[in-house]
Amino acid sequence: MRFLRTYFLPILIAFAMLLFFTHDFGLIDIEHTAIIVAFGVDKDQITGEYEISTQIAIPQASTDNTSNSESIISAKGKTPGEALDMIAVTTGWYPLLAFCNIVILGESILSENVMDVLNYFIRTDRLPDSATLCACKGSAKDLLLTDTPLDSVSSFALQKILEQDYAKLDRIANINIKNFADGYFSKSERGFLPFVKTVASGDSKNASNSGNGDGENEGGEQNSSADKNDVYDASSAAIFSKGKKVTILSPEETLLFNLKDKNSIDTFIKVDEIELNGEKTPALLEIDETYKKFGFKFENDKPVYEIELEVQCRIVSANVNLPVSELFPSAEAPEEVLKAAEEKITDTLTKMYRKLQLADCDLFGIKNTLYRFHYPKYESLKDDIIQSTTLKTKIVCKAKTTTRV
Amino acid sequence: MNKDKMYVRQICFLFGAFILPVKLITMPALAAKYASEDLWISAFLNFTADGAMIWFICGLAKKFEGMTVFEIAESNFGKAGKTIFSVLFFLFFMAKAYLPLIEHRNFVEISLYETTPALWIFLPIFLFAAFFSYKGLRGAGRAADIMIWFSVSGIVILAALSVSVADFSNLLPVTDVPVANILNGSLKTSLWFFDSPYMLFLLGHFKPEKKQTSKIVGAYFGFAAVAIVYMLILQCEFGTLTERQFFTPIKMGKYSVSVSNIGRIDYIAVCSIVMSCIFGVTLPLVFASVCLEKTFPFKHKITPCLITSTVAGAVIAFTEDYYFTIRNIFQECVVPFFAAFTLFPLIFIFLKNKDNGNLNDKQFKEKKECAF
Repeated sequence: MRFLRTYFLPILIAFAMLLFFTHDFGLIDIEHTAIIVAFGVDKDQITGEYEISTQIAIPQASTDNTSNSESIISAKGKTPGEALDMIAVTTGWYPLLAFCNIVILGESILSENVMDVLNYFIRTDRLPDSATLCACKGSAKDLLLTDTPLDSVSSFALQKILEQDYAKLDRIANINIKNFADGYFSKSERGFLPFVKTVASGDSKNASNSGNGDGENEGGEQNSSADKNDVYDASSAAIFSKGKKVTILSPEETLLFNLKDKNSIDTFIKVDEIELNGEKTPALLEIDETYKKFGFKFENDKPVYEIELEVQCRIVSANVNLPVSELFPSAEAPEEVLKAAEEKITDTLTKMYRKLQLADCDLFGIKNTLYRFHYPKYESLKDDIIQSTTLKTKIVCKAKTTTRV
Repeated sequence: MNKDKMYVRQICFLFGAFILPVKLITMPALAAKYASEDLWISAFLNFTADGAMIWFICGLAKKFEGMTVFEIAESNFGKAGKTIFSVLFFLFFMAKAYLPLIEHRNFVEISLYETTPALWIFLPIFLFAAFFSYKGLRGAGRAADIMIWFSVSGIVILAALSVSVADFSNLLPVTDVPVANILNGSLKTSLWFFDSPYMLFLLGHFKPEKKQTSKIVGAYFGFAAVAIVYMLILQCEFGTLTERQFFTPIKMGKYSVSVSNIGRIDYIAVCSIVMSCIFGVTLPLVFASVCLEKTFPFKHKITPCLITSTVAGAVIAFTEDYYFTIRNIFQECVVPFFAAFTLFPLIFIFLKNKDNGNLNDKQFKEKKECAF
C-alpha cells in the first residue's frame, strides 16, 4: 500500500499530466481546424471527377453577406474522400466534419447512383450520418455560394428551411443520410430527397407555382448570380429507385407523401377552384388529420395499396367577400368545399401513384411490407408487385369545428 | 480466511456494470452481420448458455461452501494441479481481455477524438488496470456498486433517444433468417460472452445469502434482457445498416429530434458507458492477476498486477494494427478453447469437497461461521 501511495499514484498522475500538457490528448489547435458546416458534391461529367465544396464556419463580427463566398472552399478528386483530402492539403486546414449538418447533392450527381457518393458518408465516422441530405437544381457549389437575406451563411438558412417540418407543416420531405441509405439497402431500394431550388427574393410565387405541374421540367428560377439575394424552395422531392433519380414529386404530392410518416397539424392544401357564396375562387384549406392508414394488403388475393385519410378542413383563405359570421376561424367549410378537397387529394394521390408505377419506384415501401408481413409470398411476387398493386383510396374531409387557430 | 469478501448484490451489479456495457460496443453489429434482424436470437442463445453455466457454478458454491476455486483445485489435484489450473486460466483471461481492450481504445478514439491519437495515449489504461487489479475482487465489487448507475443511466438514455426514431417492423420477418445463420451469429459473437468463468473465480469470495443462486442467475438474465432490448432497438433504428454500426453507443442517440434541437446530449450517455467500459475491459486482467498471484509466490501483491497489465499493454501495442486478422483467428480457432474453459467447471461434479468432508459436524459449523 505504501508503494502504491508513494510511487504508483504519483507516477500515474504525472504521466496523465505529461500527456495533457505535451500533446493535448491528440487534439488539433483550433487555428489549424476548418469547421465545416455544409458539404456540397458535384461531378464533372467530362473528367468524371467529383468536386467537393465545403462551407467553413468563420467567426466574424460583421454580418456582411459578401463573406459567404469567401467561406466556400472547393477541391476535386476521383472520389469524394480524395477531394476532401485535397482541401486539407491545399489549405493546411484540418477539415473538421463533426459539425457538418447538411450534405447537398448537385444535379450532376443525381443521374447516376447517388450511393456511390453517399457510401463515403456511411463509412466515415468523421461526418455524422444524422446530417440532413438534399438534392438541388444546378450545382451544389452554386447553391452554397448564393447570398440570402435569411442568414449570413447560406447553409444555415437552408437547414432552417429543410428542418422546418418539425412544426408539422409536412411540406418538406426531409431526410438524413442514414435513413436514405437504409431505404436504398432495403428490399424496396427506394429513396427521396428534398429538391432545392433557389428563388429570387420577393419572387417566391414562382416557387409555389412550380408545384402545379409535374415539377420535372418546371420550377423556380435558378439564379446563381452573386449580387442577388435568394431564398430557397425545397417543397418538391426528388425520388430515387436503386439509387438513381427517377422522378420529381410536385409540392402537393410531396405534402401528401409526407402525411404517410408525419403528423399534420398546421398543414395547408390549395384547392384551385371552389364555389363559395355563389362565387368561384381558389382557396387555401387547413387540414388536420384525425385518422390515416397507409398500408399494403391482399384483397381477394390481389395486392392493394390502401390509403385511408380522414382530415378536418377549414377554409383559411379565399378571394370572396363573406359576412363576418362566415369568416375564419369560426366558419364551417361547406359540403362543396369538402367535396372539392376530397377530389383534390384523391386526384393528387392517384396521379402520384401512377407516376411512381411508371418509374417502377417503390416509394411507399410495398416490397418491404411484402417481405416483412407476407414473407411466404415475397419470392413469387417481388418482381412485378409494383405494377400489379392497385391503389385504393378513401379520403374523407370533414368540417373543422374547433375554434383553435 | 479470505479477505476479499463481496456481497451477492455486488456480484449481480458486476454483470450489469462491467460485463454488460462491453457487449454493446461491436458485438451487436457483428451479430447483425450474420443473423440480420434475428441478431437478438443469436445473443439470446449465448446468454442462455452462459446463464446456465452461472447457475451451475452457483450450485458448486453450495457444494464447496466457503472454498475458493484454487482451494478446490488444490484439495483435489494437489499443488501442481492448482498451479497448472491457475496458469491456464491466466492465459484464458489474458486472451479474453484482448479484443475488448482494442475495441475500447477504438471506441474512445471515435467518440472523443477528432484525429487518430497515438497509441501510447491509451496506455495509461494499463496503469489503471494494474491499480484495479491491486484492489482485488472486493475492490471490483465496490466499483460495481458505483458504476452500475453509469451503465444503466447510459443505456436508458440511449434507448430513450433511439425509440422515437425506431421502426419496429425492421425486426420482421423473424422466420426468414436460416437457423444456420443464427447459430453462426452466436458462434462468431461468442467471444464477447463466456462470462461464467468470472463466477467460478468468485467462489469463496462472497458472503453466502439466502436464495443467492436465484439472485445471481436472475441478475444475469435481467441484464441479458437489457442487452437484448438494446439490440432490438438498434435493429429497429438502423434496419439494413445495423451491421455497419460498430461502436453503437456513439451511433444510436444522435438521430433523435431532441439531439437536433438541444445538441449532442447523447454524449452524456456515451461518456457514462465509456466510464463503465474502462472497468469492464480491465476486469479480465483483474482475474488474470488473481490467477497469476496463485501461480507464483510473489513478495508484493502489486507485482502480478503490474506483470499482467504490462504484458497486456505490450501485446496490444505490438498487435493493434492486426485487429481484424486477430479477431478472425479468435473467431475461427480460439472459440473452442474458450468454450472448453467455460465448460471446465463441469468436472467439479466429480470432485469431492475433501476439505469439508474430513471435518466432523462441529468443525464444519465453526468453519462455516468463520467463512461468514
